[in-house]
Amino acid sequence: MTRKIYIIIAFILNAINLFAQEYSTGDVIEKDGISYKVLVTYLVTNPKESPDAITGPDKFYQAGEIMAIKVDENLTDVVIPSAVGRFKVVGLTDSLFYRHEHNRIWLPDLVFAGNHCFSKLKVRSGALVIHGLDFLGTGVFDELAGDLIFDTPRAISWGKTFEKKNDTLVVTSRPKGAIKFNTKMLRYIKYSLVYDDCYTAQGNRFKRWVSKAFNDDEEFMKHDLTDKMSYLSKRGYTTTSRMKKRGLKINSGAVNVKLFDEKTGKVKPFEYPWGNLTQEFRRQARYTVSNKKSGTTSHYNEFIPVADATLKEGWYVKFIGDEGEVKYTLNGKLIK
Amino acid sequence: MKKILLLLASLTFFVIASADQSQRGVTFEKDGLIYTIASEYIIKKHNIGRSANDPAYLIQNEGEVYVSGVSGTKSCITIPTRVTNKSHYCRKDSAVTATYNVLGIGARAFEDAKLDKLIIPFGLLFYGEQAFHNLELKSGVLVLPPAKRMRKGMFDGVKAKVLLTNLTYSSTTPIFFDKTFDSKEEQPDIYIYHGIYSTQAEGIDKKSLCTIGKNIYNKWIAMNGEFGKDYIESNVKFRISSIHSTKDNSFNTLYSSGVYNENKIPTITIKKCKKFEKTKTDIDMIAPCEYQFWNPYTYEKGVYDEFIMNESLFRLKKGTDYKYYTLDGKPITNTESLIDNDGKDPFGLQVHTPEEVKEKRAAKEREENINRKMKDLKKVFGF
Repeated sequence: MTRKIYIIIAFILNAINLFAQEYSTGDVIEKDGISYKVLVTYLVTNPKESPDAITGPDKFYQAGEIMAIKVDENLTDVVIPSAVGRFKVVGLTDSLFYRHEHNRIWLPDLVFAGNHCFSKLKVRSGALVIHGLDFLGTGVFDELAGDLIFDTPRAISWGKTFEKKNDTLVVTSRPKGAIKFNTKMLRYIKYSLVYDDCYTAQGNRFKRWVSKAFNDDEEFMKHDLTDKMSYLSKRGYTTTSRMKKRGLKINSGAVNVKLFDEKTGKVKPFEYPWGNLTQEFRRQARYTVSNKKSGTTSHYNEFIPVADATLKEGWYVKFIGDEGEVKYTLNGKLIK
Repeated sequence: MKKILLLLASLTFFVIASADQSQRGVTFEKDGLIYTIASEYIIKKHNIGRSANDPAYLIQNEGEVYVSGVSGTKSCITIPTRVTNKSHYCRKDSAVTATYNVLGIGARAFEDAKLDKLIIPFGLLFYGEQAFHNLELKSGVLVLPPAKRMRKGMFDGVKAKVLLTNLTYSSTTPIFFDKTFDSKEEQPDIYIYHGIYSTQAEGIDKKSLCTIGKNIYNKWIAMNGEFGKDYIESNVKFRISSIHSTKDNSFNTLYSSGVYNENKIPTITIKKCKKFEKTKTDIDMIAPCEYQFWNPYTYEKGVYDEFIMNESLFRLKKGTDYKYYTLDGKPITNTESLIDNDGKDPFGLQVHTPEEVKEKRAAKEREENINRKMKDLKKVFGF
């Protein structure tokens, strides 16, 4: 009996550490026939542990954002999870499903879909359901064989979603089937190209549309539950417990690296090539560090917790930003 | 046995005769549709655009009908706004036709019908309970302009998409949805245009509806071919004017035979006798007419159930009593003189049976003979 418990504990620890290996930007993770590219990594803590329990650098874990870059064409049902380990799936690369044919496709709440991402895709269930998309490329749903259902909780930036370039001309690009929305989203699409070509419904009628797109399979629809490993990430951390007046608040995340226009010498706002991220246009880890006592806030690109036996706490935090390297004790005192 | 047969025969005759008198509820078939007459009246109109020899006035039969069924002879049905048919009003001349306004679609009118296409005009007053029950349309889309009153379970089992059009009409006249979308039976997908959502369709349970954009809306309307958008829109003006004239005041003057009190001409005013909202059954949705009569010769003022006229005289009915007048308003007291050999009055009303007429005439002749003989005797004997 005791041996069994040990085996189970060992298995759980192994599962937790499965993603303990270090990834860097550009690495590819493969899981269940789908390949993902790491866009950015940053350090997080375990949400179940209080700041007092974090006794050293080994209590931080690598998390980040990934983008689906390849889907096996032979998959009948495609399920893209919301997270792989502690890595959140934020988008789909350009032409990911180009000329693919699948029974059903489950997509999580995504940030972006690249140019021609679902172009000429055939969904045998009759409809592709989008649960959330913030940014869309050009001609994303061009000649999609099936209906397109937007089950989104927020407004979408359409951009050039329903346009495509035909030689030099820009023409309308749209799916072959119907475009369907929840009625509550209607006001957001009022000034979009799809307004005159779309259907809306609400309540049970809309649920029926969505359910039909998944062949009325309730089990398949349960994929909206996010990967449990992603719950094991906490992006906010304080170096001291809540009651203490001194210390640092660290928030980890990622931002877009903006495009610099050489001619004007100005930073262009958000001309970001979603779906085709390169070194020039990339996601960048961003740590927001604020001092509890002084209230000052600084931003850094890297965060390295360093073990140091000479200090009372046994470790300190190091940040690397545009202005160089900065070290702090856990109380927020600058180490010179 | 003979007595029973005679009784049955006389009863049958009575039913036919009374149906002939009361045109309300009579049905007729035309162009694949069965209509039920709700009212019929005679109107004296100026003969506008007449030539020199034509009469200055025309006497026309008009009325109101609703669609109560389909005969199954046609697969593409267009409901007209007006339909002309042989008059069912009691006039002697059988060639007289009446023009009826089509005011609604009755309960279960299209039940289990299988049609290729169904075109419904804009501005009907009502759709009856389960009017389109189990209707199957090959065209795939039932384009349905709103009616003022839409009854329960209208869309039950319709095997086509339903497109509710022209809902902007309700901005001036609110549509009364009488549990239209509440149903236990399977309902089709009901669509309305995005633009009118939430402002015009206030009486609708929005959860039961889908909305569509302008391009899809136009495509579905155009599916009705030559009768599509143009047909529906061409009816808009006419229907609105006709409805607006009757909707607000339930006492609406349809006809007046002359200028009141000036030329000493009797005045007949046709009015709706009930308020529209108080009605429940289909036929009661179209209130019957009543006739308000003022006679300058007798200073008589009254309300009558029935009014009928020809070129020389008119008749009024109240309960079972009939009164006859010349067009000047002079009452005709000797009504027996108006009845022909068949026992009918000038308007075709069976007042007496031919036998009764014969008997009466024989009795009259006998009386006249006796009187004549009495006179002769008086002359002979000098007293």
